[in-house]
Amino acid sequence: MIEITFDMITLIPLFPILGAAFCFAISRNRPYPFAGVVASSMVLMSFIVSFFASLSFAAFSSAGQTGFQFVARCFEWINVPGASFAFDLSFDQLTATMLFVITFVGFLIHVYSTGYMKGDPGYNRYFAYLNLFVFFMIMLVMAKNLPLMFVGWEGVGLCSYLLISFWWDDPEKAAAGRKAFIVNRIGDFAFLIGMFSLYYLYARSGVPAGLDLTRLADFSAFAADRPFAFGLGAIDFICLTLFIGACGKSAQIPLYVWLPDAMVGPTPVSALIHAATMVTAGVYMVVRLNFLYAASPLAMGVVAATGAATAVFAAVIAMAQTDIKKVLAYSTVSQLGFMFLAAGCGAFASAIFHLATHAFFKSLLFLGAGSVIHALGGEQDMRGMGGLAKKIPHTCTTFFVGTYAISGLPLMSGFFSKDEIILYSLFGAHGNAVFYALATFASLLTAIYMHRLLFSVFFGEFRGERGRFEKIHESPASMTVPLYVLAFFSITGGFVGAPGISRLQSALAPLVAKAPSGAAVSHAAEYATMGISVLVAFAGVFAAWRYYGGGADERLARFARTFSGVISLQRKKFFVDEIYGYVFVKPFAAVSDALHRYLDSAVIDRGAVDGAARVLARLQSSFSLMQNGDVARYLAAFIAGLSIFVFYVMFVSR
Amino acid sequence: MEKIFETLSHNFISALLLGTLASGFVMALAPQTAAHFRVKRAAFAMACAVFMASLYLYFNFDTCSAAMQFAEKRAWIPGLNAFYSVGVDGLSLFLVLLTTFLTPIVVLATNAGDTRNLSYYFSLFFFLEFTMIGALVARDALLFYLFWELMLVPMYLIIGVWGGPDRVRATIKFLLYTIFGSVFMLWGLFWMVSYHNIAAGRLTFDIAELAAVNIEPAAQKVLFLLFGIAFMVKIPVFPFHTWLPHAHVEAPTGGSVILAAVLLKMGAYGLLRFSIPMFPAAAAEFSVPMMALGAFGVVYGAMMSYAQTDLKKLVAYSSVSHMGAIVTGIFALNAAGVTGAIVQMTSHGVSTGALFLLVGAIYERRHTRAIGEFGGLAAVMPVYSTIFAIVTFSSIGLPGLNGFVGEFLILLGAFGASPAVASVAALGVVLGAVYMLTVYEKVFLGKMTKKENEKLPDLRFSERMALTALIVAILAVGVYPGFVTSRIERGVMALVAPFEKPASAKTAALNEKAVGVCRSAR
Repeated sequence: MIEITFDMITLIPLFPILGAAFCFAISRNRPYPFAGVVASSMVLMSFIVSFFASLSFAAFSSAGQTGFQFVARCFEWINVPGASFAFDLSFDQLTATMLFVITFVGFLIHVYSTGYMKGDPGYNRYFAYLNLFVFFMIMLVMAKNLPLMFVGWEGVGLCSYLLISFWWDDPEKAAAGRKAFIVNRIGDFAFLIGMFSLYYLYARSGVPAGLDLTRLADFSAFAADRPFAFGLGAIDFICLTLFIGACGKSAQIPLYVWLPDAMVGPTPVSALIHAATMVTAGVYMVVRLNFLYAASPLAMGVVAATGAATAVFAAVIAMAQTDIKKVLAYSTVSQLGFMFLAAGCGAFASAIFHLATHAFFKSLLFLGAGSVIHALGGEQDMRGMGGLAKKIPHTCTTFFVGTYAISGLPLMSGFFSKDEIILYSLFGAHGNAVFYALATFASLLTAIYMHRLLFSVFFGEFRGERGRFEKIHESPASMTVPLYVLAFFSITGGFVGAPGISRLQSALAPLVAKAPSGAAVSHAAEYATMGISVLVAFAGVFAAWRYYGGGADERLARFARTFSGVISLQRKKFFVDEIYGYVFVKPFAAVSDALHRYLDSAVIDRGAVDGAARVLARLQSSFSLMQNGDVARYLAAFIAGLSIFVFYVMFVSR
Repeated sequence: MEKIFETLSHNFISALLLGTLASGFVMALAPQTAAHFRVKRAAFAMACAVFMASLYLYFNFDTCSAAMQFAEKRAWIPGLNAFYSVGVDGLSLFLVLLTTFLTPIVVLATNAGDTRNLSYYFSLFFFLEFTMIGALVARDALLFYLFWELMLVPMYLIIGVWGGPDRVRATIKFLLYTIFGSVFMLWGLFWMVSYHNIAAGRLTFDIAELAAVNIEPAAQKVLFLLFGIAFMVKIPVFPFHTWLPHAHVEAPTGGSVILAAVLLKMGAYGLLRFSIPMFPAAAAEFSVPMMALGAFGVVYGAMMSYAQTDLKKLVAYSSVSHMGAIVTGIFALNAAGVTGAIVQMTSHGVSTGALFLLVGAIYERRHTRAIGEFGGLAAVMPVYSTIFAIVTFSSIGLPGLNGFVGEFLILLGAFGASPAVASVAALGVVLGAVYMLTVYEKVFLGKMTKKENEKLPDLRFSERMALTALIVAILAVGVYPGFVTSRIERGVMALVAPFEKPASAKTAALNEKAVGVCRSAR
């Protein structure tokens, strides 16, 4: 890999961190609209720089240069003998794609936030956190080595914590932030183990790779697998532990539980962090390390199976949620499952393709939901909505586009990206019929729950309080314009990767060159799966219409009666939180408490230590001099002891 | 004039020691009628002067040398061949700086109006500083032992006179416990010196000379344990830790800060200065068990922290957890682990010092430390809660802050020695977040539930300044750890050299690189 020094890319993370510092400095002042302007323009600047960097990159490519990346060396970061990790940034096709998503969607969400957060006393602080998030997310995708990537990885977790708990005086929100951070840390623990294993795997082979991503990619050929731990090969072990980290960050089974709770944060945050960018970090990491995963069929299988299972499981839960943001949250979990399914089947480029299209339509959906919530003065329960299309037409139009895109209806962005995943779940190197069936089923459920949401929010009769309907108003332009921009990309974004065009896939191809390729797919098979997907999507829309469309209340009620048991199980999210509570949280607290009470206080402190002291005291009682706690006497005793020692050394030991 | 400077630069450490001692006497002899703010101002000025002076050590430290620097040697007890011989190297430099850095901060954060016999209080901190620096710079074992024991006296008085209601019991426990450990060290030292005397035919207390003699492995093991007990009590390593929470709860804020930040490090420093270079065979043999003990301490300390209802006890137990990680790093016996341990000693000193200052600030305002008495404090004390949050994240090792660098290197090094033990120690990553974020939430977030908390004043100017200095250190080390690691490097390489496997091409290349990087300051 040729490394071309291109220092300009240092500016990409620099702008948002400066913005964050500025907004933090004024965070205790009254809300300044200026803070929002500064924060937004900083992200815009990052976008512009990364756009120019992409152009330069393309210019190099078209000049015939291959196998290169831009790098910027900043400073020696952690540097000890034997372990040296520099603060180096890199920029290649994958980085460019991620940066486009992060800075472009990030900018739109900053603009939207200037309207959404208007009047909030924490306005300046909000933008400080949001800019800090963009900084860490950029670090995550630009880091040239794994420990530096871990800085971004944990940093976005911090910002997620700060923003979920943004309205910290609500105990529920404070608890949700903590839960997110701790669950993420469980993943990070595994990530660290994987990173260390990888470090020593390479270090012991005599190659000072220093966890540099490019060099790891170049060296991976030597890494013949050998038994390592738990009967796994080293590469298997590394891939699996790193994947546990990805499960934490990207909310996959079994670590997905924090994401639905995270919805208590401000809605633009849900759109940016908990839908478009941070939660995709796990997918990014797996794709970035595709050369490792490609060497471990076991890990690939686990990634694909976890993704497929999560895609279905989360979609099932999403079906029955009544909170508009919870539906979207489970939908995000489900869509991330699709991305992992693609990666696990060997279609790494398709995972990134879906990551990008999902970033647009899901942030569109979240921002649309935010607009609905804003219009209704904070109402999030869909049972108190209905018929809003008349009142908030811009939101409705754009939301309709988003729903259409995520459901995979023809020619929308989600159609192309999801279709590719479904195709590879069958024909990919690790694809099989089970994955295909699960993916198809999950996309059926997607169409159903999304149209259920669409119909019950925007159509039918308003079910909220009487008189409230009249007061509903459309959101300001600062919020609707980003909606339209995102809607535009949700429609057109798919064409960069549409069959026959495949710009994105061919750009990413050199980076995933080691990925296993499946059997060649005939056009007939491709069209067949596409046709089936379209049929499935329309079936979903039809089913949703039958039960949630206009005048379907009676039918829905009958349905609800018949399946009341299943529905309440879905609504209660299969009691996973409760199970975790009883299996992990409560026992940990109980064991800690018991250890403290019985071992630490009783046995060690009062038993051993005080007991020994009592025995000593009894012995000492004959020495009346030593009974009180007089320092001077203790000192005297010391000096005496020291003298004896000195005497011994001087005269006896000779 | 030039001559004075030259003399000073050749006797710099003595000048530093004399400076702290003189400051202590000035404070002790200050008129008791002097106004509080004057006393505090004078103490702060002197402590700052010592800190500024100590920066001379930082800037003139030769990063290319593993030898003792700023060395001085004078006759002390000729009959014993004991010398007043001092110097600093990579192992001790940052602990000396930590000591001189924290003393002015403690002075600054002290509530002068509320402290009895203020000038005596400050004078004890100067004496404490004197003894701590003395122990850290000593190159003579007898000198080290003298300072090691002397250190207890000011701390004993600080807790015993200015402490809480149960201070007498706490101080006796603290004193007896550490003396109990020291007795073993004295025994070991004395055996060691005799051994050397017999083997080399020369009586010496010089640490480097003592380390040079080859001791048979069986004897090494016993000696390792004798010294080890003293150090493990001080660190403290499970199960010798119960004196710590007790002493902390009773100690005044300043005492807690120094106790946690520097005194505990003396144990870890002892391991680096004595146990490992003097008994390398035993250290190598006990490497994994010691790492495991440390890793167990990480988990155990975290669980104890989680179970606490008293804020100060929680922070005290968190020290047990962090110090466990440091022991794990030290006994990894490789460059990453030991460097990480030293970085973490410094980082933990800064962040736990800050935590104790913060706990002290709230205790002073509310006269309670029960976690249940708080809630929603962020509404009335925004600066306080912001600083607490930053320090919390430093403590749980968030990348970009100082705690991460040490923790990461410790775990990296430990993983090289024993992946299983390192994985247990790495649980601290999760558990630290569990207990710190839980307590943060209980104290600062949610609704304000107690009326008593509604009018709590935010941090005073002097408290803000003290904590800001600590946060600057937290960020500086987190973003650019090279400030610290560049000066530790040579000392650590010399320490771990006997344990390295025959140099592979790779380590040779890296060492080559390190030579290129290191810059001679002189």
